[in-house]
Amino acid sequence: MQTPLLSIKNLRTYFHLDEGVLKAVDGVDLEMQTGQTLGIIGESGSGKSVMARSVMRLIAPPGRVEAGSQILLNTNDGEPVDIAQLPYDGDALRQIRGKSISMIFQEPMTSLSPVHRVGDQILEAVLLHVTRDKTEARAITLDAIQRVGIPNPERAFLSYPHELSGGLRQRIMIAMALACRPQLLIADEPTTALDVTVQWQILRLMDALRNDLGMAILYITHDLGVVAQIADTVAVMYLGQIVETADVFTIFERPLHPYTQSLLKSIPKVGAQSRQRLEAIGGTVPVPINLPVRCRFADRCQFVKPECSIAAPALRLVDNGHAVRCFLHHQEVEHGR
Amino acid sequence: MLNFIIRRFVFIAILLVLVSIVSFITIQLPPGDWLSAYVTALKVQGAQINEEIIEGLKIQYGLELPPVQQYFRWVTGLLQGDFGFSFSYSRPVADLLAERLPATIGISVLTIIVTYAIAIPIGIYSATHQYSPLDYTFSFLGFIGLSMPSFLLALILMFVGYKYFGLSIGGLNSPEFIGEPMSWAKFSDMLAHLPIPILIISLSGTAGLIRVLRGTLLDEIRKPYVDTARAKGLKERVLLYRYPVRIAINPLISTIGWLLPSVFSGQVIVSIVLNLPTVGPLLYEALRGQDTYLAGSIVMILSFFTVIGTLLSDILLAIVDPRIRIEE
Ligand SMILES: Nc1ncnc2c1ncn2[C@@H]1O[C@H](COP(=O)(O)OP(=O)(O)OP(=O)(O)O)[C@@H](O)[C@H]1O
Ligand SMILES: [Mg+2]
Repeated sequence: MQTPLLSIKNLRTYFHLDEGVLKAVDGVDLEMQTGQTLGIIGESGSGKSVMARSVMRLIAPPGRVEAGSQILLNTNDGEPVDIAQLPYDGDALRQIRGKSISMIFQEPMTSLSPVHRVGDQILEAVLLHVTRDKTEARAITLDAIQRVGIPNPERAFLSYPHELSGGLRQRIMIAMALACRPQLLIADEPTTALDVTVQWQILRLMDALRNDLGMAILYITHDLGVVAQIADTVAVMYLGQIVETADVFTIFERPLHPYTQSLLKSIPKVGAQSRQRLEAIGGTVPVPINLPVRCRFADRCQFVKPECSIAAPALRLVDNGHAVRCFLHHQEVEHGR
Repeated sequence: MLNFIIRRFVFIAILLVLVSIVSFITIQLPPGDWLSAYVTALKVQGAQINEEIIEGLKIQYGLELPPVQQYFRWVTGLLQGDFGFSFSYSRPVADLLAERLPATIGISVLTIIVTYAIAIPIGIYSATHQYSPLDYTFSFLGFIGLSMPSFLLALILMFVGYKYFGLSIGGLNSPEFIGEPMSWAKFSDMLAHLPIPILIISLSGTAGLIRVLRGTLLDEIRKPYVDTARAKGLKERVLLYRYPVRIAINPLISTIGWLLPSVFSGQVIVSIVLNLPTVGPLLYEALRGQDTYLAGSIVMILSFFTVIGTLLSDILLAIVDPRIRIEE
């Protein structure tokens, strides 16, 4: 098997707050191959955004990617680099940001600078990573705007964000992320704020661009419908950890973790609001400060067993490519983290 | 844009009319007028005064007219560039203004430049180094600057300068140059006298601006578009100045609106204390002596500069911030 494009090992991102240490991401392991779309799904507050931002090293104090975390990126020239070890604001990290990995953020309304023309905001990235030549960079920018299906690229280039609709702005964000042809695109709920038709257009667009450019996509959402449409592989996140991961068919056909099962049950019926948040599960996501050593889902689990309260299950392979963090599916109780 | 400017000019005209009415009424409010105060003072000294001369003066200055007519006389004069006559100086107001306006405007413009030149770097530093020792120091100094009356600071500096450094920091020129024609030596002497009054006048404005800039910049730094810029691979320093600083500085342009009046009024007091040849002391004397036309004209001119300054800053803001145009 080829070396993975991205390999995250024991990623822990903690926020050191006055109230205690908030373990937003607490031991995530992930692998992504070139051309693969990995869907990350989980309720609000499960740590999806913090994980994605950690990969780009966009965590500001009091947050910190803890020592021992590894984020290995295979840039095709030599050994994989460990993003977690790179000096902040150093050349190496800035070569990865925007060039090897691009990110589309959760808020399309505020993710663009209000006082710069959107074309110039894309152009800036191209000038930084692709070419110093202004004319060529402009052509690349216009091409990127064209690719995301904006009818009049010249005009869009000159617009300011407030002159564009939410859908167009998000397309501009995608164009910006794609202009430098990254190996990996991280999309953090890029369509949540948009209405359903625009949402599907953008999903189809990203999938088409993935095929054209041969990049990998890390797609974060709490919408299972979206995951079904776009992902090859799915990782389910709960309280800073991955509780189950498998290919998209297995997740929908044979979910093992009780959390995944209740997420699936909470899918709205066809025709209902597909953007509805995943709130149908009893209880709410606690804030991950001072969690006891035990299964993090035990409080909300229907199938809770005595051992769930005394030890934390590890993420274990139960089938080819199918791993789950639950004692119900482990052969024997083990005392993991 | 043109529409916007035209509308603003109409607004300015209305505003200036209101200012002229209010200032005229305020100046007329105390009982009596300049002439009766003058006559009383002469009588107290035992002088003999011919009633006819007094009547003549009254008619000459229009003091016998009802206040409304006096007001219109004054305003129509203003429109024709005639500022009236100063009773206490027995000279046309225009001459007095011509002597003192250049220094006034010069000091004001310099003060505003200094205000921005000090406030912007400190504001940026404080926001990007929030809760650092220097940030605390600047905040502390800023609160002193905001709460210390400028005349007190002027007095303290004068005292310290005189007592410990043997400096005379009053006036705009050393005694030997007063009355001399402008020369290179006089000019450099003036330059040496300028920093202290300018620093004093700019102090409270600077302190206010630092707080405004620090606050807005702290907000902007946390906005998502900053992460977008960072995710592109820009250097921290570059992205700081290109995005959040650029956006946080825009609204500072509109602070001219409150900076100008504060500079003018700060200047009146500081000029009196430091004996500067600006319109400040003139205004003060005119108000005390009920020298209606002199006081009214100074108030009108300062108001005029304020509204024009505000208009210019609004136009500038509309040019640098594309969002403004759409809201128009
Ligand atoms: N800057 C921060 N400071 C302190 N705590 C934070 C910060 N950012 C995130 N957290 C905490 O980390 C946890 C995970 O947050 P995160 O934003 O990753 O959730 P999410 O899965 O992306 O949720 P959503 O679906 O709402 O976007 C939450 O408990 C949140 O309160
Ligand atoms: Mg999120």
